[in-house]
Amino acid sequence: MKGKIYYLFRIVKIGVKNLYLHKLRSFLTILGIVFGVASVIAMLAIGEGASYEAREKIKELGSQNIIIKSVKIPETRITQEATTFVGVYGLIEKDYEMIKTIPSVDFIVPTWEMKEDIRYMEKNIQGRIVCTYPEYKDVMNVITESGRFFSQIDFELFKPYAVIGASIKKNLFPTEDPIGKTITVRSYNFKVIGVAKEKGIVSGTTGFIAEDINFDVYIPFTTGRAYFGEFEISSKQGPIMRWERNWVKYHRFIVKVNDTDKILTTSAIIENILKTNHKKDDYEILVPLQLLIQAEHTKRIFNIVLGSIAAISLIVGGIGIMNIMLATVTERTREIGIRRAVGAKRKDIISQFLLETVILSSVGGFIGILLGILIPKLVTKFAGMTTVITWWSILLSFTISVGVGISFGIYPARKAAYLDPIQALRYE
Amino acid sequence: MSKVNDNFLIKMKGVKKIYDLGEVKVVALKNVNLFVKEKEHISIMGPSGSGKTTLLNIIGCLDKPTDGEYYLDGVDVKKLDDDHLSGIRNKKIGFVFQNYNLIPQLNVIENIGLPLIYRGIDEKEIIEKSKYYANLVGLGDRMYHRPTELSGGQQQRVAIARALVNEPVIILGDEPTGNLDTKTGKEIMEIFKKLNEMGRTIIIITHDVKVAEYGERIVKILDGEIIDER
Repeated sequence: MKGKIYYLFRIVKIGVKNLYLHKLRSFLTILGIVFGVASVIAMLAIGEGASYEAREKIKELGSQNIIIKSVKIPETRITQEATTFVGVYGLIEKDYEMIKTIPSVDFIVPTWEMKEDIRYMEKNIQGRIVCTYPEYKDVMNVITESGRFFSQIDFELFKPYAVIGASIKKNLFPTEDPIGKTITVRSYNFKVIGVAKEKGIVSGTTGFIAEDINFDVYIPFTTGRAYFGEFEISSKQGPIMRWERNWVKYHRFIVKVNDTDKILTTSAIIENILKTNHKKDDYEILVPLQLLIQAEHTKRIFNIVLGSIAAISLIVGGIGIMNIMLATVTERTREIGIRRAVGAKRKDIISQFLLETVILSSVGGFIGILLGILIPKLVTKFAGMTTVITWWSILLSFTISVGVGISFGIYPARKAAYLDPIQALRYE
Repeated sequence: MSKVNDNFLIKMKGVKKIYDLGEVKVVALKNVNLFVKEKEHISIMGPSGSGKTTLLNIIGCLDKPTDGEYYLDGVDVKKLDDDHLSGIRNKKIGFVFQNYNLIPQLNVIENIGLPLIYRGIDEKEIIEKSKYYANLVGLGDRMYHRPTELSGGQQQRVAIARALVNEPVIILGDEPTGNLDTKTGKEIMEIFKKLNEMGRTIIIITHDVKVAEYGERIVKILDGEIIDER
């Protein structure tokens, strides 16, 4: 046993020595494996990162929810005065009442929203005022870091309370505790009663909705309606300053379905209701679950494509190794003859050559891993994309590279072992 | 493996070797009978193409006879497979070649120790033995040199040390002085002579009469047959 370990140690030493003797050649030989492994890890990390973003975003929307949004379309203008447009668009009371009656709907949470400056003392930050119901907290999974969300009673009593997002807190109250402080929106004062926990910022790479909910301010729907009414007012840039006034009853409905299996049928029912209620396409239905399924599906296709490309590059790398090992066998024919003459068995020769290819491919695999970890980090740093390096991709690519080394090393090694020792000794 | 009850180290009877090259069959050995006792020093002489190298390869278990009987140290070589032949070469045979056949990447000590690594002996012991034999052939001060840094005579001494390190029953020399000048050749032959006096069995192929003269017995071979023995 001890002898065997020494023997293994010796052939490893000989192998390393031989490879080190031809540094440049060994280096060039492993490049194929290096890039193969690096590309597997990097591509999977980027793919995983993209789908991770998508999944996080979708999870944030709630997988049991259906989200219906009002969409402004340009033709909603109905009157044109000198400086004012007045339009109507979006979800209406009738939609709300009808969706509420669908049996599979647990409850429906409407919102009315506006982008507005939020002031505290001399500080000022633009945020999104979300006027909503107390249930919003549950359906959108808003967690209060300190204080609390507004209650049903606050809602019914038109309380001027506000729950602010983490980024609002950071900007307006960098050092103070915001609870109990008064913030101002337009000319109305609100008492801060809670701060929402920071949620992962999700960039727009996933292709749908890119909103930073950390800039949200939640206030009771009743209070909001009383203060701000139902008109959305925005300024229009142009030769003369114009104001656009849009009448919007609701901006969003968040519909919670009581059973995940019923989500798709419920969304179909909702779509029918909206189709009959709306002449124009001024709404949008988002089904997070469906998006999740789509994202998973896309990810799978992505992984298969990436996997095939990577597999091809690893095979090419393997062929490169085999090519060099065949050249090495020819070059070292005499040495093989000598070793056979002094008593090396065929399996000794096989293990020596196989070990060299395995060393080559593992070193290549190792460098590839380092490079494969580095590339996604650089991508994250310079392109701002989320990347997720998975352990299994490292393990997989390393295993494959060693496997490639073994499978492409067997042929040259066998060729070496089955040389006729007499011929090999005479080889010049 | 049956042990034959006589004191011959090598016992060859009617050994034939035919190389099948597809269209033509080349007869390298026609009918060779050779008996070698322990501690003998034998020279095999013959012109090139006479089959003397083939004979040496068969004696050294690098090759198997096509026909005939060959017992080495009581073992019927014909019945052995490749692994066993390797084992015999490793334990019972020491080869010394005309062109030294050292591995250029390895230093003197590593070249000498080469047969031992295929025995699974531990590193320390291999180095110890290799050093002992390096000293024995007079290369105590060249132990960490590469073959390319040595003269022909020194390289052949390394080869001899390598042939000794596994303590073989027989040492085979394939024109060991062929690449050396007369003076160095003589030095090498003196080493063989000394080894023989120390009790080693030695068989050397040569076409140099002076080298052959070192042997107690000279076997002459021509066209695959032994034509003279004295």
